[in-house]
Amino acid sequence: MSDNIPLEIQTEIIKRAPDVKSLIRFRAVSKTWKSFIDSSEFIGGYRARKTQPHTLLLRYTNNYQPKYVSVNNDTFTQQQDLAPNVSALMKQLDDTLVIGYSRGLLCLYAFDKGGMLVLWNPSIRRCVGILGSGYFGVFGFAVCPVTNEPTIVKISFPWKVQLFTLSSKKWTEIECRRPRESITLHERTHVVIDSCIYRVAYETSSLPNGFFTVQYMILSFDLIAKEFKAIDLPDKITIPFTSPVRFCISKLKGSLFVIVPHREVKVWKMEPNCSFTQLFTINTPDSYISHIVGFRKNGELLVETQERRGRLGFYGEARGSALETYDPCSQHISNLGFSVQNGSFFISSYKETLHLLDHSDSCVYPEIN
Amino acid sequence: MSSSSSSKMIELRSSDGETFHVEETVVLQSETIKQMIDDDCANAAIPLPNVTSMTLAKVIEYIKKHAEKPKDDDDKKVAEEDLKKFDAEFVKVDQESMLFDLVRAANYLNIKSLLDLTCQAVADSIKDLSVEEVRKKFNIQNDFTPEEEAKVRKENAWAFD
Repeated sequence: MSDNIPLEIQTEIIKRAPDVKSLIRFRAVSKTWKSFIDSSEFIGGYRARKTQPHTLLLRYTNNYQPKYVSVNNDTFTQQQDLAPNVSALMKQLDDTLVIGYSRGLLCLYAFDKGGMLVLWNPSIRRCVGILGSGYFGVFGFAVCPVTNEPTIVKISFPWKVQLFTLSSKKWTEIECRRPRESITLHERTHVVIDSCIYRVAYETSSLPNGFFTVQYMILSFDLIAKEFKAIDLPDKITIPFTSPVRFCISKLKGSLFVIVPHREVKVWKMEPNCSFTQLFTINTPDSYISHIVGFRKNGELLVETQERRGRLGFYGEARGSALETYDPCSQHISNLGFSVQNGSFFISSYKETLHLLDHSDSCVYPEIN
Repeated sequence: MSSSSSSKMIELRSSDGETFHVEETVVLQSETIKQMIDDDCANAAIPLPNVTSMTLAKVIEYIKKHAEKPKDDDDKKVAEEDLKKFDAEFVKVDQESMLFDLVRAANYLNIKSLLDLTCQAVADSIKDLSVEEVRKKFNIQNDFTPEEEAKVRKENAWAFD
């Protein structure tokens, strides 16, 4: 119907495809379209246009089965069950831990596969396995905003830092010192902001009387500079020694937050100069909140709470948890209607990307030394 | 028409010979025309052999609207909203060929914001189309063998539901 449209205009139009499903289909239009969409430059750089309403990826465990759904950030209604998007390799995994989610890729650690790591892009239904991570180590995962390269950072002790990039398909040890020798890492979900992976760390020091003190901090790793930095928490942020397990970090609108449950729950925001300001306090007994899950776009905090009704905590029985949302303005907590196993919630802003399109589904990359 | 006496008028001639008079400040949104003016080639009417009068009239409507300057900050917000509405209406064209003509004109005249707007409109309009419909729309020859095409479809069968 129209005269020939120059290739440069065709590619300008392809770049603006609003979703990945149409792009995947357009690979069948012609060889030129396929090679443009399959190019590593396009795969790395493609971002689906911001969708309205904003969508969250929610992961939880129910009856020992991990569930993945996308939910509307405003109403918290389920939009899509991502289970059909799970590929062959993912189906073999029973017991997984979420390492992180960055630019459309979820990084999982599979306990039952000898510590295999799995990268999964639910939007294009593709995943790859990565061996050679070993049982011991602390992991971080992010897609570098400059190189668009999905990168896994492994830190093992005695101190050793290894990087796995999808293009190299192998682990490479890098020369990278920790800021202080006494710093140890906490194994928990990290936060990625721009090119930095932030993680809770601590430092113990012995006292002359035989006791020791624990000082918590945040350790950041910059994927571009390949450098660690310790961010000390000021004295005003008291982290009780009795409940350090639930002290956590989170992010909202590009800022890092430190959330400390201590009688009530205090929320601190990290400013660009690494100073901290207290944002609000949740006046709820901290025994009620078992985990901080993350922020919603509107600034409400998602928390996991111990289920009050039912016979819970019975010996040998999995404890139940509910997902609740806390509005800092009205100080009101409301239940979002998810009843699951304790400690299984993971939430992140859901993005459609093309990462892994240039890798065969469910392939496993071996360890190459 | 214009209250500004300092602004010079530029004459543009479409492929079908119609001439349009546009203020220089407005027409500078086109990098291509800006270059011609900088090179001192704009003393006579600028010929645009790739753009029909119908398309050129639309392009001029667009750049005139986008050249309006808000008076103050309050006005700026209103103007931004107004511009968004204008853009949304602008790409609602009766004939699809007109949208493609606008894409081509924006590309030739090198008006980035118009190219963004029109390419996005085309991308949105084709997102649910089948492979065959896309080929037809862009006049693209299928250069896959039937086996090759079947393989590409099979790799991601879910996207072809």
